Amino acid sequence: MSKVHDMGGREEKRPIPFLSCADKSEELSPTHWTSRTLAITLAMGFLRVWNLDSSRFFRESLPKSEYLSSSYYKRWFLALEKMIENFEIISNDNADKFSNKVLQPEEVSKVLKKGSPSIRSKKELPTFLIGDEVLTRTNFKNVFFKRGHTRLPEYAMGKKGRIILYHRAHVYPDSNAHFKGEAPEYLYTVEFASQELWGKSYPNRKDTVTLDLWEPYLKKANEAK
Amino acid sequence: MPHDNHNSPNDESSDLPDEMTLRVKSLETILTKKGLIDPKTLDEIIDFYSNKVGPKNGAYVVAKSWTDDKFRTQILKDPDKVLKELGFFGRQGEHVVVLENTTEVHNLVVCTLCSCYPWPLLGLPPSWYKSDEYRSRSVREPREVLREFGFNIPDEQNIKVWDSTAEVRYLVLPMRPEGTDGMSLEELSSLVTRDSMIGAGNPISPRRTDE
Repeated sequence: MSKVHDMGGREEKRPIPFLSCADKSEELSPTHWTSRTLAITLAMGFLRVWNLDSSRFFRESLPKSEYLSSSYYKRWFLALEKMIENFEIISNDNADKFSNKVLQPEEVSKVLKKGSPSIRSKKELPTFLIGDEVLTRTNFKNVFFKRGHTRLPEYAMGKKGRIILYHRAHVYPDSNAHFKGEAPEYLYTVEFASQELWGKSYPNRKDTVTLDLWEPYLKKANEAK
Repeated sequence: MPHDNHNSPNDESSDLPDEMTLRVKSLETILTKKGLIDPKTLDEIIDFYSNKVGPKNGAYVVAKSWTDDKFRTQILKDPDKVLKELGFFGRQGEHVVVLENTTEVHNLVVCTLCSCYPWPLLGLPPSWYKSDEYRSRSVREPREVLREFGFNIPDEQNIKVWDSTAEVRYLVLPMRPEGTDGMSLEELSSLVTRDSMIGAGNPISPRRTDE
């Protein structure tokens, strides 16, 4: 069964709610709840109780109807409430533990400009080279956690593609989202013919879709399934 | 193009504003009382994304690439190094790849699993980019999607859709519009729209003065 957040290629007839660049209604506001939600979520992240991958997992684990009926920042807010509850952040004595980690106003610019690169080193050599043909795994599931987080979308499972970029090793979300360690894995950009993904009825033979995929999502194209 | 945004769950205005305003305010108050956040920090974060980063950063990179071949070569080859030097590095833009549009290839960026986007270069993503409709349709029928945006891709130009499934962030380098010879870096930057750097539009074409 596909997960609610895994949207790629889903049957969808509605037009995209497109607003041109000239539209100012999306600008951030110091008081609007959407901007406050963004800021609270980022600030709480610096307590280092959870990580980026686990936040994504909490958002995509919202009940399907709640996810689909909520706007982007409402999803953020609902997931934030759940994380605060789940990790018992504000219960009794816990809050005091974080006092030395609270993000200070004067640190904001510096930490946001620094970011948190996900690149890591890894001893073993990568299995694939640029140009290799690969197959994505069929019916791929998180091995660390039942119905856990993964970044291989369903529409790209069991498909043949070609490696076009190599990004070295990165934090592996399937593990990190569930606090099983960063477990770095090699990351590649894999290019798929759109007709491989959507069938021969897709009109343009040369169009492609690329995804950034970690090594465990892939196998050699000539390997048995 | 007319759209009724009120039918879309991704339109922030479709939630009851009063309810969400109250809920968010109440959470902010509790977290502040517990000493876990500082409201002044939140103001700084909002100010940072309102004033310090935004599409003008990406537009500078594009315009500079149009005018400076050496820069263009570097930004395509080692974007992170160049972006660090420019101060356009940071959260949600730690591993950037620049995609060059040509007469043969048009690039379009999406994140089907959430809404990954190059924040230091383009600011925060627009609502349409985060919408379920865009996330569903852009990989499957990119030409239809672009037509809906008022933007026709000729059949002979291939579309490459980039689904940002990891921490790599993509910036589209659109083609320089005609009639821009001799323009300054600043003038060129003003032609580079946010949407053109996602692949969802073209840069603005300068109006010809002899017409």
